[in-house]
Amino acid sequence: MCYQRGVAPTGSWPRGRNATAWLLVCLVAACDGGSSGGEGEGRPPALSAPWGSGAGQLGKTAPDEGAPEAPKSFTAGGDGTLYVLDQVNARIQVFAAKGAWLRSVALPPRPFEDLELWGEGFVLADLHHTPALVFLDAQGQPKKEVALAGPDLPEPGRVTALESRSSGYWVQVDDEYAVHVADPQGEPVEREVAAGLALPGGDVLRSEVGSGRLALARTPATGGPATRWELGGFALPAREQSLLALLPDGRLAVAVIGEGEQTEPETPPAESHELVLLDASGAELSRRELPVPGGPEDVFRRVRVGGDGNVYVLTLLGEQAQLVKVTP
Amino acid sequence: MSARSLGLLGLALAACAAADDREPVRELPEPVAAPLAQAYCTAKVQGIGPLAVEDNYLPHVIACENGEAGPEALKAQAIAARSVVYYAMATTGSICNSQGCQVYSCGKKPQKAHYDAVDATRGMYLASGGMLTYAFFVDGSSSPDPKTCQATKGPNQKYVTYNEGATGTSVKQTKLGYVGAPGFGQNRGCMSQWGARCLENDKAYGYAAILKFFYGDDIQILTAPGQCTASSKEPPPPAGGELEPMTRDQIVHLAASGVGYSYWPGHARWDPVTGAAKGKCQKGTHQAFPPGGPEYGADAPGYVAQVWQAPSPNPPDYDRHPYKTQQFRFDQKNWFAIPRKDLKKGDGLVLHDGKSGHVLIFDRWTAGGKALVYECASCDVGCVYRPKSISKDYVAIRRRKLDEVDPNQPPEGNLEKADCNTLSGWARDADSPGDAVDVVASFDGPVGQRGVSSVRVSAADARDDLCQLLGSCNHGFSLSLPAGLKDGRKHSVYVYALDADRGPPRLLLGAPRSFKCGQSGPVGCTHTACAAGSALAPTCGSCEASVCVEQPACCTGAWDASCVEKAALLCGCIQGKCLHDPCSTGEPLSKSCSPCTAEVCVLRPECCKPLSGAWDASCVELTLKTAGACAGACAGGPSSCAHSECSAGAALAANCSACANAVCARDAFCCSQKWDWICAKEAKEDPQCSCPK
Repeated sequence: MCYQRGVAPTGSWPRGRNATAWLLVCLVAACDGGSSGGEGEGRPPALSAPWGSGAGQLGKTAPDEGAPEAPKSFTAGGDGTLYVLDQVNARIQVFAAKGAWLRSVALPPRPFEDLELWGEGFVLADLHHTPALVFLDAQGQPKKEVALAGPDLPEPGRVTALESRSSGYWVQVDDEYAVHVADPQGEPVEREVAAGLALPGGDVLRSEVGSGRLALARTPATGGPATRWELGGFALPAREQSLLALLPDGRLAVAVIGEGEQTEPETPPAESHELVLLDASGAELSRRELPVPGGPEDVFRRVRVGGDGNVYVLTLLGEQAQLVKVTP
Repeated sequence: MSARSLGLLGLALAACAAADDREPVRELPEPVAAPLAQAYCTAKVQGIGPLAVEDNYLPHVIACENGEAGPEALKAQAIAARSVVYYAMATTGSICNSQGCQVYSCGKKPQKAHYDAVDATRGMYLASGGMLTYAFFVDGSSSPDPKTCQATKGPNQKYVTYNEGATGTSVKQTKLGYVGAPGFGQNRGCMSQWGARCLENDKAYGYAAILKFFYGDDIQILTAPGQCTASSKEPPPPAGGELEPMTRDQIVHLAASGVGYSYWPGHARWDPVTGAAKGKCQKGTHQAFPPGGPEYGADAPGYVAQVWQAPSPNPPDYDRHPYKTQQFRFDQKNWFAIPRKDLKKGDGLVLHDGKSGHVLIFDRWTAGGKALVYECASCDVGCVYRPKSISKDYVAIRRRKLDEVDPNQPPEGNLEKADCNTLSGWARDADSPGDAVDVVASFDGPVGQRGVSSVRVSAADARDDLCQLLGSCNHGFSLSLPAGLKDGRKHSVYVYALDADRGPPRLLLGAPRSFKCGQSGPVGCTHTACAAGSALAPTCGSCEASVCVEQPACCTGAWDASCVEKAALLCGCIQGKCLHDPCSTGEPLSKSCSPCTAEVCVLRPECCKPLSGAWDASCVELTLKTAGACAGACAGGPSSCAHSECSAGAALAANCSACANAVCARDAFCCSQKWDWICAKEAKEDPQCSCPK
């Protein structure tokens, strides 16, 4: 079922509760030897960590009357080392590229939501109590802090992603625009905004999900009207864009979670998750299925491109969390 | 401003009498309109912090000020002290803890009599002639004539007034405060604390008679509305009851008022007036704010029940927790499940797995398909407004008895050009596809952020290229980059299309953008051309360019008096002010002589073009009609808000003042439904408003 551009899936697409499991099975088993031959296909996930607070485990919790929580975010280094923000246990769990647990880094007691790498250390985003980017060394000791509230960012709680770029650290707001808040050294910068994903050459790309479709709009750096187009043909109507990123080779990666029609309001809808690869001009190259993230827990980042150029998906299962690596 | 109370009467009357050596007030104090829209339930006491007025602050004050008095004199003292603290809160936002105001901490613990006196007069304050009366009081003579309860001797006796039988202009004012024209409602005299005791003990006066004895027969004793002013002896609102109709705007407005409070398991209470309670509950223990004060916060179902006013209306600062998430998930009486695709503003999302659960209020979808939600999430996060990925496990629910309005599509548009001269693009609202909509450009921050400046123009320019794209042609806009931003520094611009149906503004494609224009360093646009200062850049604007053509040193050396003089001649300003009233026609005015002219000059550059331009009738019309900085510039213009932005009332028009515009940009409810106390609070916090803190 790893289909190519413009080819809609055929046959009996699963609906309802079984869809998620079906997609996972497809990913780890049936898609082996697919068109792109990614590492994630046909192989075990890059990481499987049982729930808990011990070494190599990841925390999951649910207050009686509040939002359930799980690992908030993760990232991967250039060598594939995996870093998981295990906020429930106030730590970062570090795993080798093949999933072996390496170490834990204890964190200050703050409600961190997102994670990026900072040299040998880390950058963490606290969006709610004392909104700031907190720069920690490899041992988790705070070294620098850049306040988030300020020009261009009156409501840090509306940040949807922390991003590392060559110019430093940016935060994305409402999935719409990005604000440059710190340089690579962790010092505050004169703030700058970008109306979406900055592409090589200065054009800006923004996406929008609505009415089951995903629309993309590219605003030229030289001015003039934006070019708009739609990505269609998803297995299920698009509900959420889980990734819009530039790959190291210049291709664009867009991941979309789809949601089926509900037969009854109280019946959970079927879900799908797909990765679309585009060339630099926006032309579609290929599509891949991704595992559905799963779980009702608050996870800030479920999909991201690691420093090694691979796409990773954090999935929450009954007994464990998994990080699935897909080579685009 | 001082109450001139001598304080500590119950402890050391004689010493206190000698202690008041302050000079009477000579300056006109700031008037506070009465009746008050809302009681001040919290007083910020300098050196201590916020205190509950009725349950903490006033019992301490009357214990300190006249603690040994009988019940009626204590009630009179409570009403006078409440008037004083209300005035302080309305004008300065805090009150001192000394005889200069009134004493809260004197080491004396309030007794039942003090709590009873405050409780019996909850919310009562003095007013006269449409003003809050500043209820001056001093100790007065300790030995008044028992027959009349008046005295002539005593250190502060000279301030005491006897106004029994007097009304209107015949009421004597006290020299302790500013003496206004006869009938001045703010100064209605001064009470003697010893005299009040005498009136109760020797003449059996009740508290109202005591107050009239000193402040005049027509002194009004009003009661400020508010949750804290309902008597504590009254039973709580009954449980059960009926769901009442609400609009979606009302729901999100109430939800927004709870943002910033702590997560508090098993509770739901927040105070929309006093602001957010920062605090992080740990290990299940809610941290009160302020320490020792009333506890605020909510857990998820408590919050949603308050926001939905279910099962019946309930003030948000009255703790109530009628449901658990299980009931939101499975009960159907006051809400019902809907397909997720039908979610609209004010609906809910609930999750329940048999053991635990969560419920939240939906606002809208982000561009990326996350839900912007209001929720009391956890101890770590508290009650927040944030984007959230909504998994399939959440069931959408809708409150019953919703006053539905027609579905509203958001406006759309594209910022196509943003350079150092021009911002241009198009915008329209699909709900009114043929009509022009307005766009707002805000600089250095999103619209609604404090301190950002904004310009509003109509997207009505005809553009051939839009005819086919949109089906109608008149949707283009173009505006000049304000000269003040061409200072060589990095700035940002956000451009929004405004919803014809008062929905939230929509950020245009291509926005926001950063730009850096003009020269940096000592030659920049650091001040107006109408005032002396460092050299200005010719790129700051046509005025500066014109001046520097004639006097180059103004742009290379210093913008001195000769440059100002030249600017007065060329640009329509003089000594930092506009050359003439922008509400009347005349010479062209400088865009830098006032924020209003800056906006008009962007919209119609001819109004400000030195020498060749003119401030003609079209410029005056723009001054009258342009919202933002021009609101309030001209009498008879759109500045006439129906009531003060600082107090509650009917919904205001967004363009009635810059203040209303700023508040409604953040909280559309205030201009579409009702300007309630939350709007008034927002106004008090907004720099574009001039409300007393």
